[in-house]
Amino acid sequence: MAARKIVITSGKGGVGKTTVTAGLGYALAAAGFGVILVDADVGLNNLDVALGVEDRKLYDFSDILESRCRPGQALIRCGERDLFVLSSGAETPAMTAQAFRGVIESLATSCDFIFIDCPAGIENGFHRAVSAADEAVVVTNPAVSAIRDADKVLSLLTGYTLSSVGIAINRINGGKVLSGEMMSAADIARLLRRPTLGIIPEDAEILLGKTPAHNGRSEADEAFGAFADNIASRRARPYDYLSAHRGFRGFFRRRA
Amino acid sequence: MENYADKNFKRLEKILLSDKINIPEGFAEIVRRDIESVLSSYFELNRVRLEIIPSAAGAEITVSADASRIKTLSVGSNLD
Repeated sequence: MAARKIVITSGKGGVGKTTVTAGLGYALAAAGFGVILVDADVGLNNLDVALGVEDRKLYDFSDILESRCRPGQALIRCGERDLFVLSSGAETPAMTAQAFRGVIESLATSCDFIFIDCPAGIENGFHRAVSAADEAVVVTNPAVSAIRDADKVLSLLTGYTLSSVGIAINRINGGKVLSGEMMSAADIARLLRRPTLGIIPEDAEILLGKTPAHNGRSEADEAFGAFADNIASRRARPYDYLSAHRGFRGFFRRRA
Repeated sequence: MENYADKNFKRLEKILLSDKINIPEGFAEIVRRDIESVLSSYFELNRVRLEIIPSAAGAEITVSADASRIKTLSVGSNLD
């Protein structure tokens, strides 16, 4: 059976698309699925860096399109698991939406999931990435501008043939939600009116550059696991990101 | 302490609504014609009206039409 092809998009840059793509891919691979992560951000690619394999790249997407290698030869394996990344490479006239989709289709016979890390914005790169997918996850964070852009992207996605569209809320701070400083995941879901597939707590380990392949994640591990479970089972069970901030645990966290 | 969460939620409700108010020119007319086409299979129509009002929950769509007659559904032209 062909892989599920899911685009990870947001509209606004900096909300964590690449981090979410890497974390979700890693969690699904840990659950035993075969996963290919495709960096569709031509020129500002970072998926290889997010997974700590930037020094192992031999070929990339532009090499495939220019017939310098086969699609499988451009895949970089991440750790011991069935997780691979395909880096985007330089801009090339051969990088049309149709050609991009053709490569994705050829890879879809050899794994369970393909995640396409969409570039920021809503121009050609966005169209190319979304056109190659069957499903979409729109990443946002609790910032007003991020939610506004996510809503615009959700409207744009209605113009494509996608079997499902959900949201992932990144960088949510449970302590700030409980104190009323930050909107809750439920509030954001109510505004965007789409199923919430993933809720990822703010995690300083990510900013420190610790990658999932190096087991450097702390709070986000469990959240990505729940996100992966929702994707695999096609459900939208909410992840309880507030429990770590309630009771004694929460008291000592706030004091730290 | 001021509840920023509630404040930002209300801000966003207004922002998302104002983003949706701008329906492209001609969009309502395209939809009205499609609806008129469907209804005219069953009614002799005089007029079809369509109103689209964006709301925080999406859009409220109101269709109203006047017809002078309900058409007889054809049971087939060749009954030999």
